[in-house]
Amino acid sequence: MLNKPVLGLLVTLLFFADAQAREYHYGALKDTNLLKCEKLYWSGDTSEADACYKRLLNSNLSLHVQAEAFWALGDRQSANSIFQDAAKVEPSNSIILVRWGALYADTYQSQEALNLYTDALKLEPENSYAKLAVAEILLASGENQAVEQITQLVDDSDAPTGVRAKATLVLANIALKREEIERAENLLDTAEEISSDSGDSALMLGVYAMRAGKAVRTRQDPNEWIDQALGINPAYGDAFAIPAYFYMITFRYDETGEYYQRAVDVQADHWEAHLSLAANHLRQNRPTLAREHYELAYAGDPFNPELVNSLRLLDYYDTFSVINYPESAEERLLPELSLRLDTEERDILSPYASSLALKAIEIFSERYEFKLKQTAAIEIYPNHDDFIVRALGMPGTALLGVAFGYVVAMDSPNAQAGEDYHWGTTLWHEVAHIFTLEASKHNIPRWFSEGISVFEEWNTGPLNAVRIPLHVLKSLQIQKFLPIAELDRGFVQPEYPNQVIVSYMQAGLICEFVRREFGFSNLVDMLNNYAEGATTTQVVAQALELAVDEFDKQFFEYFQQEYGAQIEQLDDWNALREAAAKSLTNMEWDDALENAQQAIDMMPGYVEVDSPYLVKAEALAGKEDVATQMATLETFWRGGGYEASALLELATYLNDQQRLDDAIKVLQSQLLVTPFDLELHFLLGDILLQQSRAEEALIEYQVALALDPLDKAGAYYRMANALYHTGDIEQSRSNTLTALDLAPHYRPAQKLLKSILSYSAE
Amino acid sequence: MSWRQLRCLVSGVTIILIPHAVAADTYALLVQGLGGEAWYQRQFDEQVDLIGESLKGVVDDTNLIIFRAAEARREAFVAWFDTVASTSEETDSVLIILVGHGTFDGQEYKFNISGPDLTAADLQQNLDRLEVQTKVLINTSSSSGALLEILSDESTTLLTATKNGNERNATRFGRFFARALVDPGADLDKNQKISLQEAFDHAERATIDFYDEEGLLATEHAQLNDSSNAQLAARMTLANLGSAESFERSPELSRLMEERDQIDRDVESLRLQRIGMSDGDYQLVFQSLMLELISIQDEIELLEGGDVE
Repeated sequence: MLNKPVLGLLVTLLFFADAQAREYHYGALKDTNLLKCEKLYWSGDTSEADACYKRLLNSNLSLHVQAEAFWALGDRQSANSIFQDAAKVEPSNSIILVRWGALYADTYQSQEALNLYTDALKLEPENSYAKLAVAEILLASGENQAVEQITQLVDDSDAPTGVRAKATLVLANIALKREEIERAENLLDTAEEISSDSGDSALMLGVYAMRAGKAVRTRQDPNEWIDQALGINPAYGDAFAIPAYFYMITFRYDETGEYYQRAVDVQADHWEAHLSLAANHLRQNRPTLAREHYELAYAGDPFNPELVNSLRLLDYYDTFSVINYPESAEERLLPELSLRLDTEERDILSPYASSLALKAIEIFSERYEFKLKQTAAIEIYPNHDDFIVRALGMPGTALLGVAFGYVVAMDSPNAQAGEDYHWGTTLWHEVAHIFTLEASKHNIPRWFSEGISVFEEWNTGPLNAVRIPLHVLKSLQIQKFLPIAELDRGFVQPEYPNQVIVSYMQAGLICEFVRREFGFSNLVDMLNNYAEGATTTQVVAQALELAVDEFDKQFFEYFQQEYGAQIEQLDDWNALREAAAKSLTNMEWDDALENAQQAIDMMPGYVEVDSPYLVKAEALAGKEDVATQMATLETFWRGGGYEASALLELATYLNDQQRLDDAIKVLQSQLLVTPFDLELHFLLGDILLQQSRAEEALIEYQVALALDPLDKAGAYYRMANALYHTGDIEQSRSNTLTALDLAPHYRPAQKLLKSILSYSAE
Repeated sequence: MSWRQLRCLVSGVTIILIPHAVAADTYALLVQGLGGEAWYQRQFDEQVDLIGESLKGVVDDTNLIIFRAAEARREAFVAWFDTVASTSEETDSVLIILVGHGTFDGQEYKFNISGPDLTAADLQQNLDRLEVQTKVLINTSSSSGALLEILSDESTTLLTATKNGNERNATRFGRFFARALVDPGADLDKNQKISLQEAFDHAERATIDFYDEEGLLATEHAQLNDSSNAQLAARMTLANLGSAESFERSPELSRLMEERDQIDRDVESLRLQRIGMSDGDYQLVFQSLMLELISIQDEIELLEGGDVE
């Protein structure tokens, strides 16, 4: 699992677009006729503004002005066409190119926009509007050096006021996302100063909306600022949408929905707010409302690829099979668990996913003294891109699972086919998020929610062992952990490639350290303190009676004591491991054994797919020392290793040795890795039946049948046999006849039919 | 309707639907192409060994011809067709299996043998010369799918390792097909025999699994074009997993075998009538047939020296 930690919540910060509707021109427009309409629009008099823009169409005014009017009225195609003509008529007018580029940006065509901005800069190298627009596109594509360019514009006293005001707001937005509150406050003060000096009240709209966002980020009431913005423009949807965005990235989805709803209430054509509201409805398990707002958004903004993806996903989502637990309606008022599975995977995954999720819910309820108040909904996607669209709206990220509160979405094993994917651990990790998010009333920093999830993987999860990936240990040879109060930074603004994973591990280790040194109940106390709205500094002081600096000191000492030697020896260990693998390739069994054993002695807990245990086992196989080979694989498995082919070999051996209970445990552990392996289910079912565990065997055979085996007669016969042993004679007879219908000469089935009929006769 | 009435219905229809079997011969030709590299040569050796041994259990020795790579030349191939054309009767069957490499240049398919290769035209012309009702061509070579358009007609059942001539990479299907003939897991109807359909299904699944497990893009997609109306692929036995059936049976054993065959025909008839029956009625009649079949198989096992539980 830790090779592929669940990157669940990080992505909200990085991938969800800030909610903005039609953007203010920030002084780029000069035509007085146009400005008159703009003034009407930005003061909230939208019907007068529309009438004003319409009067500009087909007038004698410049083509540029007409293009702007078409754009303002929502006719982007006409606007595009007229911008094109305007650029031909006024080839040296750089602002036409900037505005035309902005139209492209507004229709999600960044590259075309960038080309036009670049052309504008060729005409006028110091065009600040073009510079800012380029920097914004670069920033959106993750190029952080754009921040420097934007900062230069803020500091450039020659730049137009509007540019400086907007650039300042962009920086304030970044600072707020990074939770750099003081810097954000300073920037907002600067933005306010620039804007108020300009005498353009519309410039203040962005300042107030961002101040509302800052209030949300600092867990204060944003309404004072919202009211001020609405005082200027009562139809200004961003007054709500911007704070809604900050509610979203801090996982407070109730408030997110409320504020996006209020955004569209005051500004019905705020399509991005509709989109974000729809995504939030989906996060909160309300697909019907989600569709309603997705469709509204699509009607107004058909260019948005995220919308198209989301609507397609929703069509697919409607085909999912829903299974509620408990399954019987009489047993429940509200289901405890709701699984949503692709129809083709339903019968294969549901027995294991439900069992694991219900177990997790039971364990976490007890450990965190918190009962779920709603149904935990778990969606499992067989296609990774579908899952990513579900999680983020757009494909292209290496994420495995995401928790939105009571709703979890994750990859099925089929979505990660060919990969080393322990889906059971992903599920465990995400269910832990449900508890931390809900128990803390969504007042939890990213690091602590991830820390608890990783900690639970290690302590109660299916693998039940502390696992730190090799690449994390390698990173820690040169990198240092972050102080606890700044640990969220490692998730949301990593400074080196591996830092997100390193931060996951640090968060998990912090929880492990707290458990060891202070006791598990202190972790629960920390969670409850967060629920009360405390900061990390306050939580550490209240729950652990330590200042954060002292905590960091003790934690770093603990880590050094536990892992310092491993990190120091890492290069030697790696050399041994590589030497062992090389010897294995050359069939030099003794050398391979010696090197592998030394590597194991140095780091006995390393059980990933490139573990020296596997090299040792293969070398022992080469020496035909089957007993020691299998003992090695057993140690590997007991340490949390889950390499599929090795463990199937181990299970088969244990079965041959009549260690049937152990064979069952090995195979059952593999169900959380390779549940689509047909032979696994047949073998496990057969052993379970030998052990008189017919009910469990029956499940395995049912799953095997759902996997569409070629040997259907064999599958039906096995089901019939298991049913016979459970005492369900009629179903057994029916399945036996089905087997015989496929294979009339099938002697075991024939004999079973005789037994069934003899039993019935008695 | 009682099960006895239903059972009578089944037997009555049997006479109409299932014609009496007519004694007929099967002529089989197994051709091993050139391997080129030693690894492929070993692969083809192994496949021809397995297929050849399997065919010996179901085809009369005198009618089974195997051309190893050194003997497989165009003249020998044509000569075999000359012989079969002159000796076979309409009710006979012809089975040709090609194991090796194939090529396709966009125009012409060739099976690689010593001397001039066998072309699609060679195959077509020689198959056309035969007046037998049943012709089966199994070609596990690369590009073998090129034959699908050329040879697909009602008189020839065609199995190819690829879906067209453009799948040119060396194939894995042949190995899985050969192994299916000795694998009880391929015997899906548990009758101790591997039919052409069973071997195909098993090998096709194994090939798909191979590419999945290796994380490779599949470069071959086997095809079975059973253009006959009589489900020939399901009926044609390529391997016998049980002990070879003795041609010299005791009268008692012969009687039992005939009764067992009759039950098999009754089961097939019952299946054809299933649409018009309730599930309960179907199961009732089917169960009665099974009980008869079980009783006969118990007796057969006793006569053959087995134990019946």
